[in-house]
Amino acid sequence: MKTKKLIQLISQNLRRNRKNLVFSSIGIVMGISSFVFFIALGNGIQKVVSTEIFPIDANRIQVVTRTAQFGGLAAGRIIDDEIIENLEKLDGVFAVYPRMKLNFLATSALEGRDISPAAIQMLSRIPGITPAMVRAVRGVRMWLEIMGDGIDPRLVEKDVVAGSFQDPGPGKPIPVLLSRRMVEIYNGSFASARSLPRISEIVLPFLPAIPLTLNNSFIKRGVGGKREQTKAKVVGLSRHALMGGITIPLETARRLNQRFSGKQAAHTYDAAIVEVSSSDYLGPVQETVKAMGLDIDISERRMAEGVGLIVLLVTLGFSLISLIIVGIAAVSIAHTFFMIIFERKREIGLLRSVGASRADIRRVILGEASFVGLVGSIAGTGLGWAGCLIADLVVAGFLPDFPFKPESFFVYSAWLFVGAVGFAIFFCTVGAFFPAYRAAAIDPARALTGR
Amino acid sequence: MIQLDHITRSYGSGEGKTLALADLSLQIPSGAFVTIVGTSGSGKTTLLNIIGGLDSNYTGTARVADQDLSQQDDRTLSKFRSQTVGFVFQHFNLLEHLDALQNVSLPAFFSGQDEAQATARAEDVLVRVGLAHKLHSLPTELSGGQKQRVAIARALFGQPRLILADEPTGNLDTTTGAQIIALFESLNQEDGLTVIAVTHEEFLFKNATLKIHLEDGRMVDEPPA
Repeated sequence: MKTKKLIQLISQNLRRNRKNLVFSSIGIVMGISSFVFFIALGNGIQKVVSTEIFPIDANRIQVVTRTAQFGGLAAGRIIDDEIIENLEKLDGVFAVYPRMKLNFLATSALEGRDISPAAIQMLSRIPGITPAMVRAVRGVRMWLEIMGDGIDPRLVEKDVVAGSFQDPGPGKPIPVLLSRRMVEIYNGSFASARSLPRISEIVLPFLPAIPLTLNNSFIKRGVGGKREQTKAKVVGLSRHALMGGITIPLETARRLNQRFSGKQAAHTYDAAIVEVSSSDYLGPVQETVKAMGLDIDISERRMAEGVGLIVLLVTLGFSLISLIIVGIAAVSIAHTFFMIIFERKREIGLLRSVGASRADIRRVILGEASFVGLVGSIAGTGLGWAGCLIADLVVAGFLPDFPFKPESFFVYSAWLFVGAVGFAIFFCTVGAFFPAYRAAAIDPARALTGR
Repeated sequence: MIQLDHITRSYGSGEGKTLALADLSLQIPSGAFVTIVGTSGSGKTTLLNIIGGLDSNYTGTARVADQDLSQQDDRTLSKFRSQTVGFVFQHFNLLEHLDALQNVSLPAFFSGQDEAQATARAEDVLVRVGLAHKLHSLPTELSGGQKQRVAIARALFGQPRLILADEPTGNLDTTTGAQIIALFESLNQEDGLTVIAVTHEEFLFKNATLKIHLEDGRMVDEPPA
């Protein structure tokens, strides 16, 4: 039997039984729609976790000083300029980005009323900034102990949006990067609770500079040496920036450390991000790094993997429920086809009498089931997709902001749709398997006489 | 040529076993016009189904058109039914959702004929049975006699050498029945087809060349030589 003829026959039969088949495919539609919904949701949450909350670079590792362990390896060597040079020379290493902690204390005392009228004027012109927010900014009174580190500007060049991230030299405002994660938490909870403006790349150029007092502490008494007043200008948001602090250019950190903590502090790093040219080099580089007496910080990666695993398991759980729905629908499909075959018994006998083989009858029934699966999966995918859009609208319109709230909770991939169609066709075909075999086994001689 | 040797066919098992055909042997020459008569349950339809390759659960040997049907697999028997025989049934067995042309070209789904050829052939045979004006009529729009003509056209579609009719006049009035018999006679005499018809209305088949009388699965009258 030629495929074209098979399709013709299938379509004739489906048209005749559309009512029954529409009813029995409701389960398929529901199962596939929930499958699409949950997988897209899981993918969406995975994306937020892997790109926003715990972003992981496949080709980068963070090298840190080895910490002392009981029963383990002794504390290793510090990361200095020589180590950085050695790391750069390793086979497969594309770049090394050192990080340096600020080895002195610093504070920021931000009084809203001290912000210049020009800066307030500029702030009020930003779209989305309400008068209530401007009032809240003017009422701000904030005293912060500032922690900070210096980072190689090459690592964050794409994150800089409001100026330059290079050492400005003494006496000039220091360019600062803020952690995306920290800003997200501020936006999602603190800003909305205090009616303060949300921080984003768009508002950064309009933000007033933040006053900084270097070599100062609100908490610790007797900080020696001379204090220095300066300002910090936020120039970008970066996932590489320090969580709960500020990140400044490496050279600025080096200059300030030299000034407040001495020469050694200016040439000692607390970490170095090593980028390899291909992930194939990751293993050997890690081995060499450990042999050099250093360690690899995998805490972020572990956290990302842990959260990712939880999301994956929950997604799989819901997907399994969806597939169970589809499986139950397959039973309904089987029931419908048994009924259809009973009704069409004489017709099957007739088809056999005009030349249909048993295999032809099987193909027709399985083809009908596959088509039901195809149509059911398309409808289910559409319904699931609509559900995703509605969920996004509901979340956007009715739920308050929260940290890491994405624009859409759902990520769709071609594989999701291919999988949805494939599962539906598979389950429908499985459902029609026994009816198809029973139909093929009908004795045409008896069927034609109505026995 | 049809040659049946020692055909035995039974239904059921144990005490409920019924013998439909008991060690039946017969020979039917090509081009014959044969009637099979007998009481209900005498094995007429079973005999027809065996000759037509619809029933293969029997013992003995059935040779039809140079093929030993008892030795064939399902695929070969299907091809045999598609190319060598045409069936006509008492209840017409037309598909209600298809028009006359589509009902007649139904075998083309399985024979692999392309659509244009199949439609042309279906038109030809519908014209042959006198239904040129009913090509696109649904079965519900046809009279009993017209339905049976469509069924005969469907049987002729695959250019068979053998027409097997199971009580073809059973659902028709006498006049219409006679017209259908006349059509069979014409197919037999003008087209040289072998026609085998099971009937309870023997009187309609005046021009039959061979009569097979079955009782309890056995032939009670020897066919004339």
